[in-house]
Amino acid sequence: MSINELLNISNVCIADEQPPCACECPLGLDVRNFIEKICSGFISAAYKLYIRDAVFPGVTCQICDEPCKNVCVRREVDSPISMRELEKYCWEQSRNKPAENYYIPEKKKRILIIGSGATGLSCSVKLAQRGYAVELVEKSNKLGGRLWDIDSKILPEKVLEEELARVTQLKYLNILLNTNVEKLDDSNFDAVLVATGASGDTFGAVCSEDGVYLRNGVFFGGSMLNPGQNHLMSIRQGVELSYLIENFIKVGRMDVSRGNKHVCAFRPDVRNIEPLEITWPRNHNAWTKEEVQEEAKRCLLCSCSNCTDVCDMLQYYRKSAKQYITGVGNTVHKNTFTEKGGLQPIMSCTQCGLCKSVCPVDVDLKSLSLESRKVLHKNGRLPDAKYDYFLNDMWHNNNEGSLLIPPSAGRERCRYVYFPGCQISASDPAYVTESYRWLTRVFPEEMALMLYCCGAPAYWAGNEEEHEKVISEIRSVWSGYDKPIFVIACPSCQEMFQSHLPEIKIVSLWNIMAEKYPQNASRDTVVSIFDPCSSKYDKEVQNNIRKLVRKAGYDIKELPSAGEKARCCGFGGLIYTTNRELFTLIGEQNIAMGDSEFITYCTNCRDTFAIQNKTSRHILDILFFEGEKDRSRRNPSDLTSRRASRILLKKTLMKEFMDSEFIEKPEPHSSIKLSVSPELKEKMNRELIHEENIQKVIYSAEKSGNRVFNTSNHVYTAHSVQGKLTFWVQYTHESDDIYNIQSVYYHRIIIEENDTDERG
Amino acid sequence: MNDEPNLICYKCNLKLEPRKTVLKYLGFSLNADLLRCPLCGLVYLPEELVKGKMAEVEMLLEDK
Repeated sequence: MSINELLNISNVCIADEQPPCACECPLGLDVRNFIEKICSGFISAAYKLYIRDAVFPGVTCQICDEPCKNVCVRREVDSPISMRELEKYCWEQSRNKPAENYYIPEKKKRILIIGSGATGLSCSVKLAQRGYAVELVEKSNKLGGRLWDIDSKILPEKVLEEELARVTQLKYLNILLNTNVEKLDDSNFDAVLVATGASGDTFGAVCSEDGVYLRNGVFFGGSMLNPGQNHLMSIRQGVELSYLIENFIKVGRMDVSRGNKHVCAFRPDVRNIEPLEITWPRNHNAWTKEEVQEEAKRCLLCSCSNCTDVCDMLQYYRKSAKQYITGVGNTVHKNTFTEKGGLQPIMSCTQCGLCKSVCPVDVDLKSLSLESRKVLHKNGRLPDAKYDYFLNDMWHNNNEGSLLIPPSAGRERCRYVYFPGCQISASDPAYVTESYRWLTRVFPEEMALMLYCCGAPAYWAGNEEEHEKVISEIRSVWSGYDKPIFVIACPSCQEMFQSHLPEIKIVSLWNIMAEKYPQNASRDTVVSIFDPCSSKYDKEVQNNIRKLVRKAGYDIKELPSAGEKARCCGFGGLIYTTNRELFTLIGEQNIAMGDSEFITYCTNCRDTFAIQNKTSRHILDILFFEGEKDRSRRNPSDLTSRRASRILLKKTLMKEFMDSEFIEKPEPHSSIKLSVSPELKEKMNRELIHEENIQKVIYSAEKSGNRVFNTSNHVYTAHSVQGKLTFWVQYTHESDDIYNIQSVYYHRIIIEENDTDERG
Repeated sequence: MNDEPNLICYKCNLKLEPRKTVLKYLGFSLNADLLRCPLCGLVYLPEELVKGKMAEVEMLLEDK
């Protein structure tokens, strides 16, 4: 999908939508806002909000039957919020206060309203309050229509009288009681509302399924359209009609009512809410302010936060889904006057996909983030340099480190190609040799091996050209071998194959192994399974991993992130370089999920936990290296060893399965010998600086002579541009052979050095 | 930038001097005074500058 399609879809995000209670409320009250004001102690502000929708708050707070309570999520915890009591309290505090008198300029427009039931009355009040001259005509001798039919035990007559009395004080409202309208003469009016009740006069209007229509400027409403309509709905309709009439007067267009209710799309999660012992009010007829506030504080202020609840990135940037979507749109479309800082969140998305899995309206922030990286990369606005290390690693895999071993029976009988993925070999070459040996025993003569990267780094970097190259190569190997089945070990590779090489049939290594692996005796040890984020929807693999772990003799204590809730270990989306803090935070949260050793089936996850000192093993450690001590404390190798591991793996495999030697073509810079202190080595690991980067700088500096010399401490400083980064090295060179490295650093900005004509 | 009296270009054997240099990133172009060899133009950047001001500018431009 294109970026604009994704942005459009994201606009259905319901983060701001009304909660279930407000959707049920016949008045359409903004419940969250009302509750917030009460919690802050602003009773008169809460009352103002209430009267805006209620028009006759004294009436509504007595007669409302609180449909909100049926859907209040608090109902599942202790009891629903007593909205009516809160509304009643606000009204009682304010009823005797003098009405505020704002000067409203008169609008020279006249509106005729026939019928003073709840609908006609509310509409009159609203229009008169906005300065329109309203002529309210009532057939009987009093205002209020069916409001008088309400049981006086529910609505005391005194209250109704009090509310109606306020109406008569409105400056621009002219009331004509005991007046029957025979013929509708609207020649002196700019609009008319006919609200004459269930059996009232329609003045010759045509009633069809589209509604009631007489002529432009004549509106109909109230129980004449809907006999026996709930009084509160009538009030709401009257309020709405006041806006429809005003709109008609201003632009001449007759809009129809939008209808009163809509279904709330989300259902807040109340599982972690503690039930409260509700001891208030002490007197049901007289709530105190403190009791009212206690009750209001029980409200959860429900709004859809399904994605923010599960997304570490959104929480880190304190953004709601809507804010993130807006930021993406602004960044991609380069709106210079609006929000800055939309780029960092885009580059901090781990691509774990939890957002989409929990969204009730299928907003896909994962795809949105990735597409925006693609667009920004195409326009040269993505800081690609941040992904340089990972792309270099991928190229190393796919060039020096790549290997294709045909099945022993020859190309004609290649049914399977084992595709272990590039990280597993860097973590420990023995993972690949052991698993491949096992596979060749189970599928003798028909199991090939392809050491190659699936392209995930290029994909996550938004680099479509590089990604396409990798995909094409894999596809051509596949068709060259007459379309074998690929055996995949890494869940990220699996996701890449499913998304970008759907024509290739794949099977998970774990599904094959689960069947054939023997049952071992119980070890009386409990472990927890960390499902990698890309395994989220693959129940079969998840179950087979558990089967394998049990067969290996372990008991399992499940983590909260098991199954569909699988989280990212921190490695996804290449956020290691773009947001180190978030990477660390994610790791901390994962580790906090459980005390037992973590078993995972993605080497990135395993290595990330090792960096954070969490005991963890890869499933292959359990399956093949059980005898070896301390596999769980094996630290991830440093950058140099990782690449060396891949080369070692290639040599081993070629010797064993192809009976041939792998001769490395040494590059000129690799002969440069370095002496690096352990502290510097650690810094290099953290910042993803490879020894090769240093060798290249020194090699070209020595060859060209381009280096700066510090005469007081004899330190040389040289630099070279490698890929998108410029590396600087400071070194001393005492003896002929060894270069003593003092420091190494790099930057993404490019220095134009060829401007020898300029003088400062 | 402070004039560092100890820094020389090894090839040309000349003291480095500050000179206006063009820097480019993400389609933006800016100028800075950097220590350079007056003859061959070789550039010198210390770590404090790269980790400090330069990193700040990179982040600023990336966010634009």
